[in-house]
Amino acid sequence: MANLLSNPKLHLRKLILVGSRKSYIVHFQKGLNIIYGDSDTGKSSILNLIDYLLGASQVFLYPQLQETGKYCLLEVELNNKIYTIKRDIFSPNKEIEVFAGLIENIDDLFPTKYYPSFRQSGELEHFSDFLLANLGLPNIKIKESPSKADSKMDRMSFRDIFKFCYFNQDQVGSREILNINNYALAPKTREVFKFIFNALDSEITEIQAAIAAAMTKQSELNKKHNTVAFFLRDTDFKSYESLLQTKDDIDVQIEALNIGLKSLNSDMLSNSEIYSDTRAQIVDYDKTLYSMMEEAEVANITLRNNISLKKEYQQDIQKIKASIEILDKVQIPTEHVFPCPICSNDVKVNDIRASFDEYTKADMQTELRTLQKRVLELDTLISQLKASIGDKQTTLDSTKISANNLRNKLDRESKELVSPFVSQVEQLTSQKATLLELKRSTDYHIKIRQTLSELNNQSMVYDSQIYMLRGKLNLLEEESPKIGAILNGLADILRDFLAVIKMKAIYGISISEKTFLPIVRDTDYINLTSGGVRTLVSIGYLLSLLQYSFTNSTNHPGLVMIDTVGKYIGKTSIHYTDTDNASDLSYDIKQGDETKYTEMYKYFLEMSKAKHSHQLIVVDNDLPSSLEEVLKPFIIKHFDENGRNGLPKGFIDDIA
Amino acid sequence: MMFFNPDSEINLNMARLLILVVGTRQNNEEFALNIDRLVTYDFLSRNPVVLARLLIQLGKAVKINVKDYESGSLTETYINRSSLYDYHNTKAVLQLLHNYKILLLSRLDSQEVSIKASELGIILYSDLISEYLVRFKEIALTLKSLNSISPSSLRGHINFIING
Repeated sequence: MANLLSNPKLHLRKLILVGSRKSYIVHFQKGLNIIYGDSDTGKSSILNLIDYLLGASQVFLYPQLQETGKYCLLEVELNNKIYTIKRDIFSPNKEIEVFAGLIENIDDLFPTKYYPSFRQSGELEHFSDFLLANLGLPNIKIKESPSKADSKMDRMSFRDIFKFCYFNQDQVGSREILNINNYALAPKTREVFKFIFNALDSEITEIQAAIAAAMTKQSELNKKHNTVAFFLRDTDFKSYESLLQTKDDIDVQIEALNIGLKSLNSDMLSNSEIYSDTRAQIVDYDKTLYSMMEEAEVANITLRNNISLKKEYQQDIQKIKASIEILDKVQIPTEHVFPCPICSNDVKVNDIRASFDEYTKADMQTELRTLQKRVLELDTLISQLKASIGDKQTTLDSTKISANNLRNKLDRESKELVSPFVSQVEQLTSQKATLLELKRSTDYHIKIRQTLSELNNQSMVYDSQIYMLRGKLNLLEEESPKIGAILNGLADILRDFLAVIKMKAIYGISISEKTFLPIVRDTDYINLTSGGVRTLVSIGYLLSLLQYSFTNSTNHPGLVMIDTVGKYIGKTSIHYTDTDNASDLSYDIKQGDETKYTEMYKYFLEMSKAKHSHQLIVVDNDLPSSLEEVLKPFIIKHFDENGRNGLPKGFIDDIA
Repeated sequence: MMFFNPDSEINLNMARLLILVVGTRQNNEEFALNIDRLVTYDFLSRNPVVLARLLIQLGKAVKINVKDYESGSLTETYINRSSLYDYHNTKAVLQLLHNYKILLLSRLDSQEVSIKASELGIILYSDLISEYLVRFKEIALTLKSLNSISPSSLRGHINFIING
């Protein structure tokens, strides 16, 4: 008989990847959630991140996400209680942090830390235990090899259960599902299957042990809660309500101070406008001074250049006079050849003279007079420049004095005006700093109070777990479900699914008593050669596990995630090769024929309309053409590698 | 209009070399001048500001008073560095002065050439009275204090001064 209250409920609310540039967010809804778009846009990474945040040992991410991401957050409801799970994407062994509240509030909460793996041990609890406890599931041990009487017992983890909730891209339509070919793990997986459907042989004993363990843990928590509560009472620690009131009071006071500071700044600005004319005058003076200094600099450079030129002319005059003196005193023959005493060769006087300049006395006297005239002209010019520079300097000095006087006056008067304001601003700022410090300390105290309250909540979680386990125990003690009946129930749902999606010649449908996997046309799942059929059957199988829980008491968390539902059957079936085309045809599965693909989406829609408390998340490359409009409300993410129609190019949507 | 460059006027160059040869004699004895030293001295004589700094740098007792027109002139501001190695023109002027019997040049060996003033040269030296040449004579006398330093060492110091 169905006992809906006792089934665990895992409901995803929001996923956030916190990146180096921004955060990337996915919102989930109850019922159907569709993520679709081109390859390599990060669709599968979303499911991988969810899997990782629910305790997977590692996360496979597409390249852009690896470059950009830092850590991720998942807001979930576990049996209607909200938690935020935080995990570093690059350090899988780092503790997983859990905050008892919404993502928006995690800064106000102290996290509880958990070991991600059973291999880790120490003071912390394991993340799987947290999930199991909050889903009201027992923490039990199951036989690794149930056929052996002395089989080794192994802890069942949440991960063991989640295998029946999530098929990734490789698993959908694959021959290798649920460890079927792994002889070491397959028996344990089958035991977990039985546990999910309350058909474990040792379930009554295990549940009794689990209730005892949960009661011990609850007692420890209560003790811890009482100790902390006693300490806080003893140290006059304010109550949660009182702390919240204090925080509100501080906020009001800070707001009042902010208004006061704003008003002071505004008054100060309006008063200082009185001096705007004086400031404008000072600016004008500064401009004039700058221009005058530039002019003085140019005049000084001109003066220096003219003085240099005059000195050069003076030296040239002396040199020409010396040349004339030699010309008068030494008569040089114009044509002569003589032996060189240095090199012993014959030397022509004219050849030597050609290397130098020679001028007539008349030419030199003319040049002399020209240079003397220029020196006189330069003398006049230099005198004029000196006088002009002197005048400029006088004006510059007096302008500087006027500007300085004005500046001093402005400084003095501004100081008189501003000082009282500055004093008031300092006083208000100091008060604000004190209040901010008080607010920080109050926030910290609130966090401590919330942690205490969380201890109480955890105790209540155990209450609820114990309640659910007792309910289950009563049910099992009244009448243990028979595995045969369960398998028949699942097979009926699978048959309905295959009929709805119009698979050809549906007969010989059952669930194997050996493997707990589907049998179609009397053929074990593993031997189905049509890739399309395996896809449809594997999806139908996952859905049947979920749907069976709608009407029966099970330990299924009510969440199913399927990556690439169109594998072998959708528009993109051409990418997949592990299929036998003849076999495909015998089931009426043709490449490019969207019939079954479309019918499957209709099935998802019908499930969603039935308003069962479940969540189905599907990832695909395309959608059936005829259903695009109908499916719109269920699309939570749609990517296009070229960003067409304004769509994001991928989960990381801010890359070029 | 003719471009007039007094420094390359041949008569002025002859007068300058004659003054250097006579002026740097020690106690009226001939000093064994060579072309290398003559080129270095010619550079220093034409750049009195550099010479003044060189004398200070070498710690020589002899000082030179730089005239107002020598400091800050275009020649002093933009020193012609290549003239420190102008062997060609110096050799040409020496050949002319030898030909006119103003200087007496004789080869001592394959490397060295002796340069002396003739009687005619010494008389001409005494006869030179224009302001520029009288100033050149003053400068030549101070150069005597550098006779004990090799030309290559002098050039090293000069390059240090003009390159800063």
